[in-house]
Amino acid sequence: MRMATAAGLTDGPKTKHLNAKVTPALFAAAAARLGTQSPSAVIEAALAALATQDDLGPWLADQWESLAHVDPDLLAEMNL
Amino acid sequence: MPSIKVGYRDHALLPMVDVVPSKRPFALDTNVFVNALAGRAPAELRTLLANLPLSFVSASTIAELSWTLGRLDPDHSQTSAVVGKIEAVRARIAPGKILVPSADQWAAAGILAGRAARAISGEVRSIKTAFDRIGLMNDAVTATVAAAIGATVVTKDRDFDLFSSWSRRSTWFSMTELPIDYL
Repeated sequence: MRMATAAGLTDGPKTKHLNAKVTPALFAAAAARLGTQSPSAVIEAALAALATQDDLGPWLADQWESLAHVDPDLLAEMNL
Repeated sequence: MPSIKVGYRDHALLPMVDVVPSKRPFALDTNVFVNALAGRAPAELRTLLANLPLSFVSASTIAELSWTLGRLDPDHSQTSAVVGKIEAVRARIAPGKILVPSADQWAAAGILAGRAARAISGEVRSIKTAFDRIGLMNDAVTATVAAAIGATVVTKDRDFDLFSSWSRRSTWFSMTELPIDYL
């Protein structure tokens, strides 16, 4: 939630209405982790976690050597 | 504050990156992006990146990556490939993951860079040119904003070793620094 707030995702009025069915076990586990029984709070936390999910590191690992073929002089200009 | 002797430590004494990251956040320095894309970094970095749970980027790193977009010769046959890759990197960095310095953090970074420059004055590497100062300032900004959120900086830049010297000896600066390698 902290990161979602920092990214401005929690600013403004809450106007989007959601109606979802999930298994009681899933909700209970998520609610226990969050420390609340409020469906709104649980859904908001779940959406925040999804929206701020971090894949920068794994993505960069996938890009390994993708510029290895580039002229070294050109790459040298990237090194500050 | 009493004068403290600070300088670059021997390579063997530096903390090295662990391929199994902790749950604490990491801040990726500019050279991590460049060397990963060029495939010039140790394989341990690739493993670390592949397993990073939470990473941030300093605003100064954004500026350094963006420098490439303006600096490269648009007529060079490979510029478009490099620019496209840097733009893809930018698109992957969510706004909430960019550590933007406050006015106080800019000031702290300036002091930190100045102390580091004074500490290595007369050594093999001195901060002499405006370009040197800009580079050191950018590093100090990264160190400062990373410290503010308790992030470990992943870098091969040995200037961070200077910054961490003060963290071991005083309480005002608490960054942990893990150089990957000195290429």
